[in-house]
Amino acid sequence: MNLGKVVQIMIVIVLAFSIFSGCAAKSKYVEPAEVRDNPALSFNPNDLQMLAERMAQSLIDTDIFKGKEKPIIRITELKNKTSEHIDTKAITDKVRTALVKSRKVRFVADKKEGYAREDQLNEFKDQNDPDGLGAFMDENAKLKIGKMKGPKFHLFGEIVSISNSNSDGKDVYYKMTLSLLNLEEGLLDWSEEKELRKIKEKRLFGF
Amino acid sequence: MISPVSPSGNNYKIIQVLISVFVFIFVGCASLKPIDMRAIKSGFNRPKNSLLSLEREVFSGKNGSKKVVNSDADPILLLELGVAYSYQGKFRESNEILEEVYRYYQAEEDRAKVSLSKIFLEVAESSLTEGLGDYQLDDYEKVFLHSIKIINFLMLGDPTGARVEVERAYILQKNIFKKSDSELIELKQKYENRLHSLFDRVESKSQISESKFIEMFSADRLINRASLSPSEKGLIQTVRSSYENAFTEILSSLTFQLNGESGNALPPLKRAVEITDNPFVRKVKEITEKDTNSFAKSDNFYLFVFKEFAPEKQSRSLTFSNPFTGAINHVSIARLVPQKPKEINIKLSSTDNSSIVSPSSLTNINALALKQYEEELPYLAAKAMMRLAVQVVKDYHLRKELGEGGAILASIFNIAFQRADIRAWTLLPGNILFLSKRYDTEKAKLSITVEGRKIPKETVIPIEADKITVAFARVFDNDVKLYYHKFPRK
Repeated sequence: MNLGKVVQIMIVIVLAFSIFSGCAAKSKYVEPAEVRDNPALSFNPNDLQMLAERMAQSLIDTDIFKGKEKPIIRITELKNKTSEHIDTKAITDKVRTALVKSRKVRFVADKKEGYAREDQLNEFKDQNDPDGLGAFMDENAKLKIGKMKGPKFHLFGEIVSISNSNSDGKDVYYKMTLSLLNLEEGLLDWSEEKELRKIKEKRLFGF
Repeated sequence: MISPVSPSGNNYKIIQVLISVFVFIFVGCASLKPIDMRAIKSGFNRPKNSLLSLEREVFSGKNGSKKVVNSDADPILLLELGVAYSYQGKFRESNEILEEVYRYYQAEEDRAKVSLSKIFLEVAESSLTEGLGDYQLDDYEKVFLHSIKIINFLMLGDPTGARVEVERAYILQKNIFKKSDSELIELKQKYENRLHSLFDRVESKSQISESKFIEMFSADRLINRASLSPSEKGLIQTVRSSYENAFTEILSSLTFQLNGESGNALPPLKRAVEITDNPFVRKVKEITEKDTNSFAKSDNFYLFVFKEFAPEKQSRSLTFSNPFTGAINHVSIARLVPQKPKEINIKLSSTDNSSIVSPSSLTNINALALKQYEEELPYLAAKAMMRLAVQVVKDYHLRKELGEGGAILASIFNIAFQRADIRAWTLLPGNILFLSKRYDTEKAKLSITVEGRKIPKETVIPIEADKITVAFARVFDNDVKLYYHKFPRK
């Protein structure tokens, strides 16, 4: 075999690999709710949206909030027990937003959201400070002391993952669990879990 | 295989020149701008940033105030810079850099089964020289990447982030598989076939028997030059093939406790006592066994001390005059060399000097590295001998085409371009010490002597009896860097 032929064969092999593995990469806008056909194995925005919405809907569909008065809930940031640095605050916020939009419940700020409580207390102080802001305010428009509400429920949960891999690919399983604790009675009034499983097979050819 | 048709003299010279250029470029790329790691090691106690040379290689520029990692930077440089940042207390930056390496090795694992670049690299490394591609992390190094990140997250006061790294370390340990014996047999078979084919090509020129020929090119000759000493073999007895280490286990247990998961804290402690003699680990395990909630209640102070540096790699070569080609053959592989241990004494006392205690050895990184090295050595040696076989074919043709001049050219070529891949994560500590203790006083005082000299720096750690203090000390020859964070009990 002469050198020219070897070079020709090499070129054909490289081209074949290029076609098999696909080189072009392009980006575009998509709807946040759009689910990709070929999802990344890591926890991604689609997963966040999917799990949070399903979970919130499940809670809305229960008969816990059927009374006339909208119960007050405190929600705590989910515990991340996965192998990925997931923004659990974003998932918690998503669940809270969906529940607020349902108009069936109300929320107080979580203990972890200390800045919100601090801000609230500072506002109270400022508006009722006769030597400061309070001196310039309409008496009827000031925040009234003694009207704050406490939560009746505590919503909390965690997200776990189990990951397996071998020479053929990877398999990742995510499970999100949420529970609703009745703070007065000390009973769990509701609990739900939602799962996601992703499998990625290794390509046969590629660069 | 040797080409069945010898090209004409002129063509052959052109091919040789092309190969020389090709090899020169590859070898050149692998060894461009070597960084003086010894200067970095001795520079940690100086106010001037000793990491500038590393940073220049790792970062390509700035995006606003954030440094941008150079996509071409070798992972070994990122590892070195990552751990160095941790020693300097730049825990967030350290995590960012080490996360890049995590993504890199994840991408490597996700590569296609038949990867063109992997095949090219494999062929090039078993034909030309070692170390042509990016640095491939050893398994124990991958585990330590996550362990360093756990320390970083704890020092940042983020036990949730640390927990993620604990999970990653466990997944990694679960997936570490020892190379199967069948792979080694296959590689040896390939090499032996190549040897027989070689002998068929050159036998007419020589009076030496085939058995002598095979013996001359035996991989055992190289293995003997690079194998472990009896004391090193003794050192690796405690290391498991999954590279579990007591440091990662204790960090995991502590992380679970700090996240309020006392139920998960016992299993890592049980694994830890199987692989370390550290009395503090045993004590913590016994306490936790009695009551899983008491782990962090009895002791409120946990200290990890990093001392010395991890092993370096040095080149070990096999050089001999080849009677078949008249050229000098030369192959090299990297031999792991543990650093000379230093006499370092560490004492921790309460401010009233009422109790003095010293941390004990927890994990010996030399042992982990040597264990991995021993497992890899047969593969490295077999690959080196494959390169030797390629050399002989080239030398044979050069001699045939150019006579004595060809043999001289071949010898120069062999000696100049055969390099061992001596990259290693050298800024890791050589040894890690640990202690746990309950303090009811307000302060704990750390005093350290290295080789009989006292490190003058005052290292006092304020303690709050109702909080858990996790401290991390990095001991250098003339300095100690001490960091700590206090966590509420959960």
